[in-house]
Amino acid sequence: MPRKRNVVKLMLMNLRLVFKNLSPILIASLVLLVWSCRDSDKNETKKMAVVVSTLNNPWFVVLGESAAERSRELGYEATIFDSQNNTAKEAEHFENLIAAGFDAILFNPTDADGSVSNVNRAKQAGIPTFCMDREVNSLDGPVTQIISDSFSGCVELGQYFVRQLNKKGKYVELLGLVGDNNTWNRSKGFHSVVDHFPELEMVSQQSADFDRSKAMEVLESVLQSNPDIDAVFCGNDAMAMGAYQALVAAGKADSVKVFGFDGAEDVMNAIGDNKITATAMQSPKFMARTAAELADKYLKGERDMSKKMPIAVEVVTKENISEFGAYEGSTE
Amino acid sequence: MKGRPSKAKKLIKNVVLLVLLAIALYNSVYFRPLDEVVKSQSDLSFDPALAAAEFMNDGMGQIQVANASDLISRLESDLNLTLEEQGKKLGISKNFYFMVEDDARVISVLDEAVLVGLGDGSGREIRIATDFIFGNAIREASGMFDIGDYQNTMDFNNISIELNNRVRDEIIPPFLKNIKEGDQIYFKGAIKINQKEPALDELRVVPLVLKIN
Repeated sequence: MPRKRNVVKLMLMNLRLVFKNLSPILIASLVLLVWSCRDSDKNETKKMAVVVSTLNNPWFVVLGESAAERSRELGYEATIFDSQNNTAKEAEHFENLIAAGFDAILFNPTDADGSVSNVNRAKQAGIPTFCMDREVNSLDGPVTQIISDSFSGCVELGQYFVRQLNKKGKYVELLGLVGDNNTWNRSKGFHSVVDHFPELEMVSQQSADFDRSKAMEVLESVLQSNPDIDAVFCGNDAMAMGAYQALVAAGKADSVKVFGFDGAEDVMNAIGDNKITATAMQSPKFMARTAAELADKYLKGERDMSKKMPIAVEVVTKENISEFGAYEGSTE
Repeated sequence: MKGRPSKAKKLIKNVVLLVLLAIALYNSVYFRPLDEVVKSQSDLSFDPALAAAEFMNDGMGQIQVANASDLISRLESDLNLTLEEQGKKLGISKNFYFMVEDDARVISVLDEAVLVGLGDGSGREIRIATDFIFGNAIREASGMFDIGDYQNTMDFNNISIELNNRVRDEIIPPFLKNIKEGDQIYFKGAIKINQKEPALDELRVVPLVLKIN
């Protein structure tokens, strides 16, 4: 037993000696380890989430892909999330991306009021949000909101509409999603003009949720009770294409003028072919790139940003279509 | 005998479940007429008519106004510099706005405007709009309203609608009623210039003040 005790004592002494001599090396190694970890954090690629209201509409596909592409060009890892026009789905995406530790969110909301809580949750988690195209009814939540000046675009479009119809006739209005501010900014801009011309009569105003098939169904049904319309004003280009299909089916495509909003590729082609009368060009590419660049600046420390950044919208007609490319405004 | 109470219990249980289910369904789904939703969009607490009235009554004195002839001269000599340094614009846009004033002589009364020659004797002409009073020219040229102050952008846009209504209802009718060719007038109003297509010889003023001298 005493022999064993001596062996243990000897071992402890040796260990103490080893630690005494190694401790400076150990401390230095530990410091280096921590430092290198910190350094590797710094070098780790930052992540940008692109949350888009729907990928069931080519315009939003371009918006999402352009945001992701610009983010990658700026050195970020970018992931696109599709909310499928569903605020609950969008909330799920926010929960996941907060848990996954994304650094910033380029956000195209599903609902001006319903999406506010998602933005606030991200803000509480320290993740800045940058709204694209659609706004949320909050000045505190998002860092900035890059939106189309839909109202002014529809004021211009409304004036063109009035002149094309010689200030008289019957028309139908197809609205977008009723919870989206763009729906009402466009409708209000249009009505701020056309309502001052008493011989222009709106025979029906219905929502088709920015959806092509729904627009076709709605207009088919409206045409049953109002076969003598002169024009259809649509809150977006997808609905304009749906309305045009309904008019073709009813044999009225040549006599009824269709107006859209977006500058989508199929509508731009249709304007060139005299099928659609006009649209308002809002560039998803420009908006998405601006959002990604602002997010990058914010992550690098810039804080001087306007709460809302409207981007001008331009009316595209057969007369000026050569100045535009699909999804690209001449503002660029 | 034993089966009866249990059947009754089962029935009561099913009825209660059905009632609960009906209540849950009734409260989870509701329909609102589109007209009601449209109305609720305009039933916001912000009063754009009041904002427009306050601007027309008290805010006019605070606006920065340029002499129309001088501004056109500056635009002719260096368009981009003048637009960037002195123009106002909303967000990212090629449209710039200015508030201008000048004395002028009426050349002719047109369908949608009154064509006037500016008082500097330069032969420059400008159109005073009397119809198609739409858009944001007055709101933007005034520089008195900031989109960042409005939670819902429609509140901001409603200010333009109300300002245009005031111009359409109060400024233009008495002017049009009394104006004739050769009259000397004073005007103050907003102009919009597109950087890409400035069309300086076709400028159109949305009037805020019109006086026949």
